[in-house]
Amino acid sequence: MEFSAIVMLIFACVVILGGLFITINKAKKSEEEKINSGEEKDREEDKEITEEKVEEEDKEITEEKVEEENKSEEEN
Amino acid sequence: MKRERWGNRTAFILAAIGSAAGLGNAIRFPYIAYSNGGGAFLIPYFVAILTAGLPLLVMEFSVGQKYQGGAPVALGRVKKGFQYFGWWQVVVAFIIVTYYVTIMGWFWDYLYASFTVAWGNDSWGYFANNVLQLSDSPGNLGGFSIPVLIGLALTWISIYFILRKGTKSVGKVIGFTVGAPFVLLFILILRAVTLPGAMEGLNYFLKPDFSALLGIKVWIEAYTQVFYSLSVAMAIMYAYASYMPEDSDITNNALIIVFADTCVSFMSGLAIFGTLGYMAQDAGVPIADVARGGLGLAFEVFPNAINMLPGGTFVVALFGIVFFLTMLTLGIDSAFSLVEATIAGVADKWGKDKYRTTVGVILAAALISLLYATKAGLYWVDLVDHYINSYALIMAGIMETIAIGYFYRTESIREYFNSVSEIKFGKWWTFMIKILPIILFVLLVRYFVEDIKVPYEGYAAIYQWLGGWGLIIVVGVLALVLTKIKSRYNALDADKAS
Repeated sequence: MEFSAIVMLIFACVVILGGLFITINKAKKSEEEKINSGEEKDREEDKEITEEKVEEEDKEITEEKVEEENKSEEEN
Repeated sequence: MKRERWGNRTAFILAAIGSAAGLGNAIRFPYIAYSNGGGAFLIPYFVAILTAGLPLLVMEFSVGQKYQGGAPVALGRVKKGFQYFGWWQVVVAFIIVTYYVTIMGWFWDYLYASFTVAWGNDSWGYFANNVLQLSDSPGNLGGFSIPVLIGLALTWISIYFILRKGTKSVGKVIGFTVGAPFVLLFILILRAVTLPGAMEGLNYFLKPDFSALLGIKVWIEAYTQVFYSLSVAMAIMYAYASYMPEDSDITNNALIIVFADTCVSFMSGLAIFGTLGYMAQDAGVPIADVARGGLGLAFEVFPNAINMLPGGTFVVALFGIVFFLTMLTLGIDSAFSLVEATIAGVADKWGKDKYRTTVGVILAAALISLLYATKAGLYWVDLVDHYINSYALIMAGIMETIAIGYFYRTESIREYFNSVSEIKFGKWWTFMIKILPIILFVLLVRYFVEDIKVPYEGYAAIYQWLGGWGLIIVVGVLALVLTKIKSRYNALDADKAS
């Protein structure tokens, strides 16, 4: 094979395979980021839900306690 | 009605690669490159991809994805009058698939024949007499050729099973049908480059003649090849992109598809010219005498080359099987994408059940494709392919680029795809969309001048009209009828995200 043909072969391989490598890698990274950001969002949402639940539970417990205390005071 | 979706981004990219990389990559590109400056052709080819193929692909993806519809509905949502351009593309896709499946049918026959290398030393004789049972003129249909009919049936059955559950069933096979050609081509290259004389063949394919770049012909050929290679202006990319959520990436997907498509073309060139180099050396003739493109390469020259390979019947048969399997796996994705483009057009506008539409479109196309299974089938494939590709398809490209480039806020499309994409495109994209109609018009004029000077392949005027000029008029009229037929579903006003 002549030198100029080999040069064109290398040129084509670099452009095509290089282009494929870069673009596929970029797509992979962005998909991973999307999944990660999705997971983070889920985690944040879970956290918010848990915090809200704890707050509600605390509130309920406090209210119950107050009610019980009031009741016992009335009985006394 | 909830719009169906691709399983994931990979499924969409693979489906689009499968559609773009078809028979043209394998049997057209190598010869075009060889006869237009060899390795130097890669330069205008890459320029054409960057300035025409990529902008057009991105435009179609953007409109399909943003407006969530096949070509007619998506373009109709851009502006009501544009619906006609979408139907034009759908009708073109429908006509193309009717003969494309017949060529696939011939490949099925050759796959079967490969087991015994049935064509022997006379590949053209085998093709004309045993497969096509060719009559003497397009007017003499002469009944059906049974081998072609069987091949045709196999192709339609494959398409039905791939499309029957829409993107779900396509997603299941796409990994194989897109991956297989890469593997098979790699096997063909390995075998080809180890043959004596292969390096001489590759020299012809790759040795650059930079002086050819000074002529206009090479550039026209490069733009033509890119335009045909990427499955643009056939309603396919609109439909495929419409099955993606509106916030999906566009530019990077398009780049991956463009690179993969070029990869298939280049790999095919290496496999084919490596083998032709051996054939020329074995026959003691210059490569120029055996180098051919198109159907002549696939059914005459290459089978001959296979027959001349060293290593005994088993090895020769194996090479034949790998080659024709490559052609089949390359062609099947393109074939079903053409059918899907039609299905999406019909189902979107009339809100019909997708499965029923699929069956209806396949049955209608299969019925028409019977014309090409007659003993005059080759003539009609040749005629319809020439006129539809040279005129109707290029006109489709001109229409859509004029519509988006001059009668719509082109910049808003750029803003949209940049807002969802990983790679941002500058104003050059808008500029190229506005320039593209001129480039495509040059291609159109070139074909027109050639056909006026010498009627295509010397067919009689009646056939040039029936399978050519008349058919283009039919495309225009049918597109108009489909645009005007009212739909109770009124897809254009329906919520695009529904």
